[in-house]
Amino acid sequence: MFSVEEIDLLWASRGHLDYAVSGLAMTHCSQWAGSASAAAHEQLADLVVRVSDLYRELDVVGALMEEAAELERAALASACGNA
Amino acid sequence: MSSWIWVSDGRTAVDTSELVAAAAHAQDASESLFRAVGKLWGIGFGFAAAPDRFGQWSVATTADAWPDVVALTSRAQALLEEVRLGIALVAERAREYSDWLAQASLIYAAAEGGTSAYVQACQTLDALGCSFTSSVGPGLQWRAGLGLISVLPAAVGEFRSGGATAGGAPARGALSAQLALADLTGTDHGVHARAAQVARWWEDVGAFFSGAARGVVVVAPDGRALWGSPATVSLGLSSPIGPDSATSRSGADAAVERVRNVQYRRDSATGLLEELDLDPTGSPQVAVPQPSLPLLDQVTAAAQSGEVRVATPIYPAALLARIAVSGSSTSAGEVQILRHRSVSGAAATAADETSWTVVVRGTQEWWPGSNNPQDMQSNLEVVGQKPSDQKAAVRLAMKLAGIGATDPVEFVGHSQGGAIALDLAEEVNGERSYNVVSVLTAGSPTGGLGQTLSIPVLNLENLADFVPSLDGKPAGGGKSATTVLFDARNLPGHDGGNAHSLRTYMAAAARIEAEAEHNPMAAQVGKWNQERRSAMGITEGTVTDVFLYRTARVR
Repeated sequence: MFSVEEIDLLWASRGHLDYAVSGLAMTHCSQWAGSASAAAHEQLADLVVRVSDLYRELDVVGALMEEAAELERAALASACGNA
Repeated sequence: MSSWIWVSDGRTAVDTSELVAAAAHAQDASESLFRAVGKLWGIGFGFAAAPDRFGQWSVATTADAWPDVVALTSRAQALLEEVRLGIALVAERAREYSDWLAQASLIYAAAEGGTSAYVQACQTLDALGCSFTSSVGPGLQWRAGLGLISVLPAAVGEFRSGGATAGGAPARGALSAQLALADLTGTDHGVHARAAQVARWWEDVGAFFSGAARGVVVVAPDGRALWGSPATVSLGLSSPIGPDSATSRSGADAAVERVRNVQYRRDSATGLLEELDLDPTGSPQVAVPQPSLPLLDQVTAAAQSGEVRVATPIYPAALLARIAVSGSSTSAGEVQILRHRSVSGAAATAADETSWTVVVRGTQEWWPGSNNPQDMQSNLEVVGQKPSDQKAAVRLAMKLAGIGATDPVEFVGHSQGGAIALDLAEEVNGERSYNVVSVLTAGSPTGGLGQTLSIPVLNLENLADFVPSLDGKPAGGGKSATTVLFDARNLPGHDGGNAHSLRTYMAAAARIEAEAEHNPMAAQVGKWNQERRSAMGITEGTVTDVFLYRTARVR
């Protein structure tokens, strides 16, 4: 059901999230003060939290996919053995 | 909720390059997230995606563990869908964040370094691949803004050197500026066809402004009329028009006749206030509406023939709502003046303390030299800090209203109206012909205007609205000015459409008022309103009458 290539795609997508978080971290402007800066910081913090959560969820999805693929292989082996 | 507005009382001090780089990084992050979504789309849908991958499903389904495989796969698929959607949403948010940073960088660049810094910031953003998206929202405004920046200097130069036309030749710069500004403000309906028509007319007739307007006429509700040009009006001179006038003034008489027959279109101030859940004073609706307060829209027709009592605009949102009531037409403009009286006895009398609100609506006609002085010509003149017909019209209306030299006066204006208001406040206070005590501008290019004023001035500027940035300078208004920059995206009542609309500014004003008690930034605006009310003598017991003055250019 889930091929090795598909599972690789999922892990590769995590790399893009990694890159995005790095990029977002570089949007902090040290010399920018005041409430406009605070507003930007709020947006930034919200984005980073969301991306981090999604990163963790990708981990969970990847583990599930690997588990499903493993189970599938076992089922196939078992069925073939029985046959 | 203190993050949606910020207030400045003077120059900003921001490293614009840092902001530009931040916008580019955010854009980069957004693109990376979209790439992640693309990768996840490469993952199939389990059973549906590869039914024969092993060619052994019919065998596999007989295995004892098969139900577990199905359950686990379904769970993985469902979660994958959620994550894919979540990343797409956050990618969109990151793009909005990038736009927001880019917009802020442009505004700061314009505020600190003028037009040249603004243009440079635009070019840097463009070179970094940080373009606003497509043809909506900031993207459209950005492109239109760039277009306007490129043509405006030429247009203003033409006006400075040759008045309405340069040596009788068509003012091509003005036409280009008109088109760019129309795009910018989202009011481009039919403008191209009209522009082509105007251009043809120029060629046929010789010059669009040929005749250069011979001043403006202003007609009071009681029929009295005055005629004056920007030059004469600034000297306090004007000519009455009527049966008793000895001089031949056929052009002025014709203009007066024209405006008397004008049918104005008006926006619904009541509707705007109700949508924002405000009563006619601009205050949040109380459980039981106050029956004594008349609806704003119902009085306008009557106000054209005389004074009519209306609710006193106690809060800024109601002040802005008055602008919506002002009428507009292709052939005439309108200046609205409110007379406030603080009642000392049972009823208002002439002896009561009187103060005045002068309401100046924004651009109503997008080509220069129209019969309505609220047009592109006045826009360019006010940006170029030249005397304009619209400023003269407002002064004539004030004269007709009988405003005394010591009566407290406040100005309120949207877009062009705010710029005119600030310019005029400085002019009349400087010559002590009137006593302007407060100014409210909304979405106005006020840079360089009102710099010598020392009265409370409140400038409202939506970050996504390009018009206040057109001057390429910090907001004006002098040393006592308070400038509120706000992010309108989460405002209640904001429709997400035209960032320059009066509705957006009313929504911002209403929310500022609502947050005055717990948001320090809003409290600063609340302080402005307290000072304004104190100087104007406006209390809960004040009674207010409205007068509408029709205006037109004289040919």
